[in-house]
Amino acid sequence: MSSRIEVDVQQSLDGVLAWLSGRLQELGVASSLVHDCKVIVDEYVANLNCHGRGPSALQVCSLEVLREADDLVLRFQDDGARFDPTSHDATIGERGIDDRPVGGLGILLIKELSDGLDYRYCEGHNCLDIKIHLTRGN
Amino acid sequence: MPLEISVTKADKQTVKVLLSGSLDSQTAPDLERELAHRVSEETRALAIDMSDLAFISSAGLRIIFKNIKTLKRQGGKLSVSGMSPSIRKVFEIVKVMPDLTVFSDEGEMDEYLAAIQERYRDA
Repeated sequence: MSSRIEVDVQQSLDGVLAWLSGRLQELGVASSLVHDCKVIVDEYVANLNCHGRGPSALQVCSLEVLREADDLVLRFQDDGARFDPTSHDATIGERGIDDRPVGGLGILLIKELSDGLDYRYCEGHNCLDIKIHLTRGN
Repeated sequence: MPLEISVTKADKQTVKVLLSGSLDSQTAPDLERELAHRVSEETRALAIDMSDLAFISSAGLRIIFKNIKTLKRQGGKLSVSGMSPSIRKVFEIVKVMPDLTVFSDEGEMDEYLAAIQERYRDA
């Protein structure tokens, strides 16, 4: 199975998430982490749909799934408008549900379900590595 | 993966739905429409059975949030049962657990709904 897939951000993610499950299985990732990885991919692509639009609507991003020692890396790359998810406030704090906005949960989930985000903008491309320690699944 | 929404109980004060499949950005609008249709100003308990729910993302959580707020305003509560550990983890991250009534299984949930109905029948 290839380590990389093209994702049409405006279409259903069913095929991408099925590919992701297979790739994670191939890498020996614990099943308890598979759901987390699916949530991360779903949230990031949903964010690209909201924020990643340049002069024309962003159509495609790439997703690469790699194992680096004890880490899993989800590597996204796209050529949409510059979008740095690490710069977004992703805290809920102690606010009760009545005082909280209904939106804005996606980046929070990505940050909480992962162990590090590394964002770079190079030559017109957004590049984001989302790192997840494999020990999380133990 | 599609989302199947089965309304297994709906009366004046209580609504119970069973979700199967994936509650994500593609399918959340379906649940939003169904609940908007079922939850009225008189609803006091919305019970969601998640036993067959395989996946939830923030789009699904937004629908849950919205309905918790709606029910709270009118003196009601949203309850859930059958959460898998993965789904529970997502709910815990967004700190919504204190605003939910959580049942371990469908039987407990049904007892709760029956008690709500009883209370309003006697009122």
